[in-house]
Amino acid sequence: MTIDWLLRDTAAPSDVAPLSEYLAGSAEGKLMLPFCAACQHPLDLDQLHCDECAHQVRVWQIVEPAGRVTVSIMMNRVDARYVKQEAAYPVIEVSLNSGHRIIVSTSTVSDAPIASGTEVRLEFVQVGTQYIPRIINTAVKG
Amino acid sequence: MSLSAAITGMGVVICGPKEIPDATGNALSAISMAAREAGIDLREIDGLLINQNELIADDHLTLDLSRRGAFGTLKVLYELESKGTTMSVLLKQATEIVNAGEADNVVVVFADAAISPNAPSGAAFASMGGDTGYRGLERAGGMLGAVAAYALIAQHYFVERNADIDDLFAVAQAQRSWAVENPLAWIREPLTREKYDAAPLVAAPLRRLDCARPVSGAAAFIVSKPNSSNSLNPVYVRGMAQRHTMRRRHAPHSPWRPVGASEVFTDALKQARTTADAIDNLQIYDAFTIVPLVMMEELGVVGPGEAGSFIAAGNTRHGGSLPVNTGGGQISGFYLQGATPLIEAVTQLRGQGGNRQIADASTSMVVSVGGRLESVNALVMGVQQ
Repeated sequence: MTIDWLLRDTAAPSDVAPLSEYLAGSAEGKLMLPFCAACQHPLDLDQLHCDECAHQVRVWQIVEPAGRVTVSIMMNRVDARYVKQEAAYPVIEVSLNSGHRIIVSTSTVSDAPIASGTEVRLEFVQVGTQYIPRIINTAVKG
Repeated sequence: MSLSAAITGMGVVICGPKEIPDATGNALSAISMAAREAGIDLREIDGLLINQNELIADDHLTLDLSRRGAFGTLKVLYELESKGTTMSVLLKQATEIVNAGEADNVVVVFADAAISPNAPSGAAFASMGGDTGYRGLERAGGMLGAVAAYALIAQHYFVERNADIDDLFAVAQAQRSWAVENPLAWIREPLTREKYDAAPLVAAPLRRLDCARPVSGAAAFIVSKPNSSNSLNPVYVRGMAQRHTMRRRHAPHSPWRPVGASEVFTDALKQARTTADAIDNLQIYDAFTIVPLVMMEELGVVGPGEAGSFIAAGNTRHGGSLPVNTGGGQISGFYLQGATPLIEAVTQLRGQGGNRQIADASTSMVVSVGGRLESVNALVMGVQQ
């Protein structure tokens, strides 16, 4: 898998709960996210009870690594403790087709935000020992 | 009719940039100032309510403050954490404690050690997050610090309200116009568009001048039943309401709106037995310029998408129809978290605003927010019970 262009190893997340299942899926190139076992409502990574039906069992499922950009910003203050680049880079909120929302950047160098509403797909890059989703920006138009 | 509990003393300490901060020492200084105003000896203090402050981990207040000060036997002592709304919640609780007769002189105190000679402005806040849970994933997405989180909120607001940076500038300039007349404000030069545009971007669309000014310092309030030994007019806490949205990171929940803000506004007014027309100044927790824009609309003070033009037209400045953040707010004044808007409300209601004083100020609303606008609190304060 490609080494991330953006972040240093110091920015890698810890694989303790609630990220362990998520990161285990990422290591296999799959986007794994939790759902309510009863009603299939999407849940937050650390959510134990369903906000839709109050059921208390959740399941982790592989979801399509695709969604739509809700908003995008540029990170201009670059924190050298975590970031390899010296230039501003995009930070993008994506609403996945599964209903979950995640914060990502792009899989290759980018110096521009992505327009709200743009449909995107994700791939994984390596940060330290972890694998992190990024938008496949070579295919992004607009 | 017996008098209700009120704020009878206030103390504020703001350190200079070259001072070594000391949260406990600054808190005790602020408490001493407040006690003098209230006309009481420190040993008469029998309640101590501490704003737990987890933003800066290295130097913060703990219950040990009670040992290091010269208080009397404390009948009430605790720390509370309710994000940016904590000080407002504590003031309401202090009022209830005194009214119930559980204690007579209750201190509500906050302290922060956000900057020091070796740590530049904002450095302490830039590293917030960590490597676990959602924050760990956000960091792995390149999102570092609170400014990025509020930049996303600003972008949501822009997209959904057809707004732009002109609206952010309107907030920054209006609040600076108030800061010019506030001796406690960190930045007191009038703000031009050229200066605003020249400020470095932190996380676009937010520039440095869109962000609160961190300081090291402390604020303390004494809540007691007013009497002849008080040196200044008492300020009454008349009503409070709050909502804490459990922000979900999935559909159909909004990723940015402070759900329940309009109910907070009406509930607080109802509790205070007053109406929106009675509010003669609005003090908003404005860690970023986007916050007053969002909150004024969500409270219902103006319609959706109207806040920027309302502010740009001068309505929130001196002489305007609704003065907002009359000390310069946290943007141009100083960032003592939830204490900042409370300090200004008390200042106005006591008539101590000097050149920025609102004529006959009698009712203030303090709106504080927490987290990423997940928590909203409205506190109505007045010169009448």
